[in-house]
Order: sequence, then structure tokens, then C-alpha cells
Amino acid sequence: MHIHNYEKIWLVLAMIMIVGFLTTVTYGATAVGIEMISDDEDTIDPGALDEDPRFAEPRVEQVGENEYEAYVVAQQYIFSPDPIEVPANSTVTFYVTSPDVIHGFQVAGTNANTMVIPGEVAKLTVETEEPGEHGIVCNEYCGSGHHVMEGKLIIHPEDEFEMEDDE
Amino acid sequence: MSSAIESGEPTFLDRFPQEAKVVRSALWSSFIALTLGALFGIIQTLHRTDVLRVFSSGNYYTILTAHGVLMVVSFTIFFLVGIYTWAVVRSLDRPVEDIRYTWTWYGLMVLGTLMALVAILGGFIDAVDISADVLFTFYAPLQAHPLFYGGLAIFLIGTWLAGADWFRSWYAWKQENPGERIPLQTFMVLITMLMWYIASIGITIAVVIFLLPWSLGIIDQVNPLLTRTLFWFWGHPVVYFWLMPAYLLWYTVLPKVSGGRLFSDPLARVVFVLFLLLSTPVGIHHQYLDPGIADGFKFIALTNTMFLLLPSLLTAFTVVASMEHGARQRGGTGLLGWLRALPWANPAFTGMALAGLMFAAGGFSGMINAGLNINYLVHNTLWVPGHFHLTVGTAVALTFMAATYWLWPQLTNKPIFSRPIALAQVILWFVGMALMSNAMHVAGLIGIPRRTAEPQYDGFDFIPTFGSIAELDLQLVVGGTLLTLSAILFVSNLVLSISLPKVSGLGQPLPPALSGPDDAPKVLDNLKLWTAIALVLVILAYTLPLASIVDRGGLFGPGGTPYPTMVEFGSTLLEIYTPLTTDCISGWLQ
Amino acid sequence: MSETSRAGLLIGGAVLFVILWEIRSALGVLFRIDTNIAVYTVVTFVVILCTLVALDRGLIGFGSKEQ
Repeated sequence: MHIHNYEKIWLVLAMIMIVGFLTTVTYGATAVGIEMISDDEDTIDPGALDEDPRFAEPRVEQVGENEYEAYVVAQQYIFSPDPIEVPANSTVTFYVTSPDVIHGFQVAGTNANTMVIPGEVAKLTVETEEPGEHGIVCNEYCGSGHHVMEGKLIIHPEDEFEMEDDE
Repeated sequence: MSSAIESGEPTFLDRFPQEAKVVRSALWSSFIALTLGALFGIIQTLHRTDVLRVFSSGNYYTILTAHGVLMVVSFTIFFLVGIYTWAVVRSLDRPVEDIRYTWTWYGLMVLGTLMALVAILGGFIDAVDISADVLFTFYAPLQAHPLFYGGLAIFLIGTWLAGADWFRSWYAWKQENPGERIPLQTFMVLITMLMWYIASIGITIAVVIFLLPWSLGIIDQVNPLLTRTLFWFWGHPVVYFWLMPAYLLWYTVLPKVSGGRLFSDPLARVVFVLFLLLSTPVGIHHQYLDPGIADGFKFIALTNTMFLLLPSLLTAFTVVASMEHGARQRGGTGLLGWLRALPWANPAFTGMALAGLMFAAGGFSGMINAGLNINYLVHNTLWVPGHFHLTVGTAVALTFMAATYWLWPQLTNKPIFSRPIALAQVILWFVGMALMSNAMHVAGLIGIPRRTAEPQYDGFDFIPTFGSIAELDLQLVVGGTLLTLSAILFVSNLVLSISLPKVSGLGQPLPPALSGPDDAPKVLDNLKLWTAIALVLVILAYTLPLASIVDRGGLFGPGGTPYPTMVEFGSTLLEIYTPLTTDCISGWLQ
Repeated sequence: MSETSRAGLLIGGAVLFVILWEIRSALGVLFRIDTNIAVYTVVTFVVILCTLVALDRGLIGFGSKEQ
């Protein structure tokens, strides 16, 4: 099969570009350390969230020095807890699930973004840096009230952040 | 009319009048869907940006479901079956084996569409408990009326039967032409349908085994992650079902309207074979952010997806090379000067050229979507519709419209009513889409979500890095308006053409490729081999993820209720199902 | 001038408009450079007009004066 020389060059360039794209993604996965949402957490019965110690009471908990876990429930049409309050300069792992339909959970304008699927628990770890307030958007259609579904993430300055004493 | 159109050849209508009628019907179905879809599109544009809200925001989702289904199921696939019937009959130079069979599958597609539309549009009528406010993707536990799932199933069966029709034609031709290479257009049609059969496996299981029985109350829960994964098993290759007819047109018609010939037949075959192999084992790239699917499977989807760039890049080369060949045949000279010699006044050419140009941008934004960890930033934001309005919305839609200007006279023996308006139409589509899609991409980057009636939130504001939200909204409205205007011009032009008298001499033969099928290795025509490899790749990509999902959550899920649950479907043979309506939910929102 | 050339200029103008418009958002997203939308639009149209006129008159072009 005759392949024109220009086409051969084009093919080589195309392969280089594809490898380049794969490299940037690999860089993100390794050097920068971005993990993908995975299947680490067990499945859960969406009708029995109150039997799970994490989601019976959606909240933020401290689990180490500068390490926090946020247990979040996304449901038609609110996020709990609201607001989610965490300190700056810490590592926060969100565990998000739903008792009803599929939702989205995105800290608006950032790459803290996950699908929330009833029956599954989404685990997402982020590094908080600057203090500030961010909106949380449900970005997957979840019913006729989808557009009012919003939450808030408040990142407090470290010295101002206090966990409620409720161990 | 320019003399370039008339060549004295008998037209497709002259040679195959019965088949021409089927093709015309399929194309009319396609364009009716386009018109209705476009109407819903502009309603959405004005609603989202809060310029004009004629309907309630709850009804927005009915409109959005209709827009999605009409545009990417009805408009695209009716056009495909029309153009593929034309291509097979033309390239094999024989009528279909049984015209009644052909009308039957077309009729099934129409029936399926109407059923689904009744289900969807029923969502506007509160008095009737029929609705399908589930959007094009119908993710469980959101639940539609059984008519929706049933309609989709019947529509799909229609398309499968269409494929069988074309295989039949090919077998019959093969008996009479032993040892000959499959004509290029027929080859492309058969490869597309093989891909479609494989892709259909996922959605058929999802709908027939889970969602339809569930909507009828026969089973009472489904596994949302499983049905979602089965959807995307089909949901990615469906985009190639939209694209491959456009590629067929770029490879076999565009060189002709450029004034020349296709650069390479063998490479066109290679491209299509690559799509057969790679279209389906990539569906998990729509689920990068899904919990419950291991990141290893997501990485496999990533690498498969990146290699899917290859056939499109190959196409870019061949298409441009063919255009250049045509331009030089028309007297064009110089390194870039040949561009000036292309037939820019021909809307068929210009539409396809602009569609191809826009596809380059769409392909790159698609690569961002495909970029695994990069996807975090854009998933479910308005960026995603920005991307697919460039690809299906322009590369496919605009190519279809442009090709219609070329093909319609050969199906009707009448010229297009107005060539200047046709040219204006394609330019308007290009500019309108550029504006709208550009705004969507930018909006997505700052976090504005897709699929929502009101992206204006109480507790926070989106923060643009330049300009303002108001400017982005303005751009969306201007772009959307130009697109709607363009759609109206397109359909009006065709409708007005009906009033013209028939003429002769509108036939347009297609010249053979510069490098013909005999230069192609015989193995390319070995459909069984490529199908087998495609199936192996799909098995490799999907067996473990699907097994894992079922193992973890069960075939019917770890729990859950449908939303909205269907009111009793009426038959005493079915289990009585506790009715819950969404009245209480939607009530406080109006 | 021929019909093809007139159409070609029109289409070239449309493509140029899109390219210039994309540059605005590229500047904004990548470099956070804000540009006034009204001013930018006017300047874009002026640039396009000048380019089309220049191409038409043969002041700029792809080399050989066309048929």
C-alpha cells in the first residue's frame, strides 16, 4: 500500500502528539500525585445511610495533624453538611454518597469534582491552601429541583478553625 | 444555476426511484427532528441565561431531554440511514433486495421515535402521568415512562434491520462479482454497522434486561452504576455512528465537490477499520469520576481513547490532500494559494470545509475531556456541551446539511431553491457555533455546570478570569440565535425547493480515488477478522469492570428507589407498585 | 471578480472573525488579560474589513494574482 511521504511524516507527528498527551496525564498522576476516584470504598445501601456511622451524621472530623475527613450526603436537593467547614493548609478527604439519585459534587471552578452514585461512596482527597469561601455545585441532573442544589465549602484560616467537641 | 452542477448524467432518482423515496423520507424525518430540536435549543439558551423564561425551570428538563434525543438520536440517525441507503445502492449499482423490508425498518424507526417523543413531551402535561424527564442519558434511579425505553428499543431494532438490509445487498452483489474489492462506500457502511452491532450490546442489556422491566414494575430496583456503565458502553461508539456518515461524505463526496478525487482509498478503509476496533472499548472515559470503578480500568480507557485520535488525524490529512488536489485541478497554484481556487461559492463544499475546520477544535477539546486527571476540571461543566456542539453539532450536523445541498437535487430532480441563502446558512452556522461553543468552554472552566435550568446560585458567584458572566451569557444568546436562524434557513430552503419544476441533468457521478481499492491490502476487506478483533478488545475493556460492579453491588444494586416512580401502569398482571409522584417535590419549586 | 473569490473572501472573513474571537478568550483564560468586549469587537471588525479589502485589492495575498 502506497503511503505518501507527507502522510508518513504526518503519522509520526500524530503519534508523537498522542504520546505527549499520555505523558502529561502520567505526569499528573505521578509527579503531581492526582488520584482518580476509584473503588476503594465498599458499596452501601442508599436506603440505610443512617446505619452507617459516617453518613448518619454528615460532618467533618479530624483524623490526624492537618488531616480531615468530610462525610457528605448529596440528596435532592441539598448537600449535608452545609456549609462544609475545614481549615486551610490541610488535607481533606471527602466521602460522598447519595440516598436517592445520581448527583455531582464540584467545588465550583476547581478540580475537586466527583460523581455521587447511590450505592457507592466517592472518596476524593484535596489539599486546601488559602482561606476562603467556595460554592459547591451539583453538576449532574438529579430531578426537577436540580438547579437549586448548592452547598458551600468554607476554608477557615488555620488558627481560627475549631473542631466542635463532639468526638 | 451555475453550470457546474449539470453534467447530463441520470440522477439517483432516475435510476432508483423507489430507493430515492426511502432516502427522501429518512432525510425529511431527520430534518423535522432538527427543526423541533432547534426550537427547543433556543428556548434553552434563553432560559439558562435568564433572558427569557417562557417555561418553568422544572419543564426545562423536559425540553432538554427532547433536545438531546431529537438531535443526537433522531436527526443524526435518520440521516445516517438515508445516506447509507443511497451510498450502498449507488456504489453497488443495484436496488435494495426487497423494498418492503426497507420500508419496514424505516417504519420501525419512526414508530420508536414517536413512542419516545410521546413519553418525553408528556412531561409538559401535568394531567397525564407520562413523562421522561431523564435527559438523553436516562441515568437510573431517574425513571422514565415505559414508552420511552420501549420507543428507544424499537428505534434501535429498526437500525439493526437497516444494517441487515445493506449486508443483504452486499452478499447479493458479491455472488455476482466474485473476487472484487468491496466498493468504498459500501465498505464504510458495513464497517459502521458492525461497530453499531457491537456497541448496541451494552444499551440493549441495560434497557431490555433492567430499565424497561423496572419501569413496568416487573423488577423493583436496578444497579445505577451498572446501568450507567452499560449506557456508556454504547454512549461512546454512538458518537462514531454520528461521525462515520460524515466521514463517508468527506471521503467520497467532498473530493468531488472540491473539483478532484479522493487522495487514497486504502487509507480511508484503514480509518474505518480503526473506528470499528477502537470505538467501543473506551466508554469508561465518560466515567472517570465514577466511584465504584477502579482507576486501572480508567487508565485503560484513557490509552484506548488517545489512540482513537489516530483515525481522525489520518482523515484530516487525506481530506485536506484531496481538497488540495481538487483545487489544483481547478487551476490553483502556490504553497497556500491553491486555497483560493476552491469552490467557496458552493455551499456543499464550504459547509463541509467549515465543518472539518471546526472539528479540529472539537477534537482537541475532546482530548482534554479524555485526559483522565485533567477531566476533573471540566466534567459536567458547560465545557462538555461546548465540546460536543463542535463535534456532533458542527462536524456532523453541518456536514449533513452541506451534503444535502449536493444530494437533494439528485433525489428530487429539482435544484435547491436558493444557493446564496444556502451559502449564508452554512456560514451562519459556523459563526454562531463558534460564538456559542467558545462561551460554553470558557464558562465551563470557571465551573458553570451543564444540564441545569438556572446556573445562578444564591450562596456564591462564579468568578471569570476575564470579562464577565453577562458577556458570556450574551455570547451564548447571540450564538444560539444565529444557529436557530441558520436551521430555519436550511429547512426553508428545502421546503421551498418542493415548489420548483423538475429538470434533468442534475446527476453527479463520483470519480474514483487517485489511489484505488486495488492498492489496498486484501486483509482490509476481511470484515470477519476486524469484527473478531473488535470483540476481543471490547471483552478486554469491559469484562472486568462489569464483573467488578456486579460483584460489589449486585446485579440489581445495593438498594434504592426509582425517581419518579411510575403510577400503576394499568395491567393487573403486573405487581401493584406503590405510587409516589414528584408533585410534592416539584410543587414547592414552581 | 469571480463569484468564487467573492464567496472566498466572505468565508475567509468569517474564519478570521472566529480566530480573532478565540484569541480573546485564550488571552483571558491563559494569561488573565481582560479586554473590553465592545472595544475588542469593534477592533475585530476593523481588522477583518482591512484584511478583506487588502486581499481584494491584491495588496496582500498568496502570491500570484488570481484568474
